[in-house]
Amino acid sequence: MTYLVDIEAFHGPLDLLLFLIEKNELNIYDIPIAFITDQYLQYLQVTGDFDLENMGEFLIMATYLLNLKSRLLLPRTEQNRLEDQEEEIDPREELVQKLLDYKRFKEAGEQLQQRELGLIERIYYREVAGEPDRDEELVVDLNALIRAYRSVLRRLPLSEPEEIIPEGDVNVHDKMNEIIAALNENKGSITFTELFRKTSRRREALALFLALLELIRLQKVKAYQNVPWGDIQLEMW
Amino acid sequence: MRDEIKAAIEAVLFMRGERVSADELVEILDIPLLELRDIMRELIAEYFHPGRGLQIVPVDDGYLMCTKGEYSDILARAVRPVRRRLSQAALETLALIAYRQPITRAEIEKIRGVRVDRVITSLLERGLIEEVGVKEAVGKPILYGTTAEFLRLYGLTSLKDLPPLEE
Repeated sequence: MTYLVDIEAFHGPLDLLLFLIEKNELNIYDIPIAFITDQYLQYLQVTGDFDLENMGEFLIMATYLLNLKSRLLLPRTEQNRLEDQEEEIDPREELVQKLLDYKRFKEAGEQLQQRELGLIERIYYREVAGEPDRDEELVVDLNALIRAYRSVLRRLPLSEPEEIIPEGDVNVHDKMNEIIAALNENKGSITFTELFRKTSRRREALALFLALLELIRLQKVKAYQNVPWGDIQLEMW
Repeated sequence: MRDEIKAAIEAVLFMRGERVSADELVEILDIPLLELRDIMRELIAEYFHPGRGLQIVPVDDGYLMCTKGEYSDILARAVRPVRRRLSQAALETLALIAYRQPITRAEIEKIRGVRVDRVITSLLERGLIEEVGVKEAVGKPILYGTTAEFLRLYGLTSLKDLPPLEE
């Protein structure tokens, strides 16, 4: 087994154990502890170098499993066999209970998500209109920006104007300053369409677009949409 | 007169879009509680009509106007497609809090087998859970419970709507 397992994909040791039990189609009420302990340790090993902070919980479970394994392997004396029979205690019981509890809430969490997505029959409350919460808005992805840029280009003539007025080449850096200035003029917020309104030439539009991308990369400007396909709103960080 | 009161109640429930307690309605409309209950029975019955997409649900001695369950697939397409999805860790923790509230962080960690500080913080920030008190135990740990926003997000009229946990 040479592949690397991303241990962080599991939400804790119980999640990993549950995965191993399901993968091997084991009966949760009758877990072969020696087998599952080996599998579990193997998973920890193939993760390679691990970060102790995240691994701590996984390691605690590993020692618990090893302890459980040794308890099950050790020959029992006549004395405690009698005791065990009397009380019918399976040392695995605690683990089984933990796994069942965890599984229950994992599934309940999945159900909540399905409810949120409307995959389970549910009711909806009225959405309260008004200032939408900024955190809940779409942050614009690159595709939306490019779409907006294309629609600007469609408006501009394919060829440059006939009369050539000598002027310096369009400079992306200047355009960046221009965007900042435009934002400052408009109280720090402007739409994509407004920003491109004054551009009449393709070279200029290109420079402006590159300048905008650069500002977003530098986190000086943020772009978001209130609704999908809506106008893109630009704002100072 | 009676029809006007009924219409006014309908308007209040629409505007609020959340559970409004019977006491509050009595106060707003200045009518006796018995009359309110009577009118509400009628109003709720009127909404049963299949030609209506809304319903009024009695919840914990109050009333909530919301959509009918039959239309969840259509409404799922109509909600603002905005919110950041909760991580699986956050969902599990939220489910735990919902079913076992009030619950302390240590109790959650015992069941989930991992630390949950960060998840708790993000659930608090999103307004899905809140501090509901402290446990009378060593260190007086904070108890957490779910909020009205939790009910709204998951389309529950009250915690009683949560499906029973699988055995």
